[in-house]
Amino acid sequence: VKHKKVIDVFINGVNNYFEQVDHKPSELRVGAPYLVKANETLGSDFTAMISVNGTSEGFVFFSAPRVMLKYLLLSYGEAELTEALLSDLAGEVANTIAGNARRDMGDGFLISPPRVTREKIRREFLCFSSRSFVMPLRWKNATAHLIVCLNSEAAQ
Amino acid sequence: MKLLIVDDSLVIRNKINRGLIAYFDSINRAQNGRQALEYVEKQKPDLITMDLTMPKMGGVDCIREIKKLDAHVHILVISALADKATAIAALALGANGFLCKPFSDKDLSAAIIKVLQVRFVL
Repeated sequence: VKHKKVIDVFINGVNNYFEQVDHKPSELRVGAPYLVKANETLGSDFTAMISVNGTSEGFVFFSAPRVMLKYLLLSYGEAELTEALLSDLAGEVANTIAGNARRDMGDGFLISPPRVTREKIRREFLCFSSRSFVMPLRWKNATAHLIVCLNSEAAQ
Repeated sequence: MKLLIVDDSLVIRNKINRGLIAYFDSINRAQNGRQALEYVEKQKPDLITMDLTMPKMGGVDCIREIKKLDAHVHILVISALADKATAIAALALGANGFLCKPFSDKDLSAAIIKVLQVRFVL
């Protein structure tokens, strides 16, 4: 049940983010969350990683294809869709969703600034928790993933 | 009036800049707390929008240091940290308002007007 609570917190977080972008109702479709599969490779064009410490420990990733980030940048009013802005935005999405999670996870849920890479997510991060889960996010005919790898009392 | 935008995200700095350009004579930007302190010492902004989670120096430490340099500068915290404790802590440090990310242009205008009203009343 507690693990479900963590999933719900992040589903609410992504819905809240995309409702703001789409001005309600959002076109976002959140796929059924699933546990990270053995040998599954995750990581799209841009992947932002947030480290979590405090009452929970682990990582939150937002990984999105270039095309989705371009649509998001346009919704922010950006005219230039540069690689630097695409990378920056991936980090900002991860930061916003992880930061908003503190509303339910509490102020002991400490998050780092985002770090963005274009590489696949390393296995050691995905395996950090036995309850790491993946949430597919379908928007503008593209699919991103929110990946939550947390060890916490709340997630047991 | 002079505005300083402090946020490690270029996308957010641009969004705030576009949303508030009509309210200020000049707008400058910093991408972390250290840069913000340098700017405050030299330029004396009237209002600062302040992110909290940033590399090098985060927003909480930055607000504390800014208030030592200029106790009267007005600060609007704009952060993804959505818990009440964070908002209360920021206000206790001397911030004048708190806006949670993600935010619309309308939310931003409303928040800045509130802070400016307090400034002019005082």
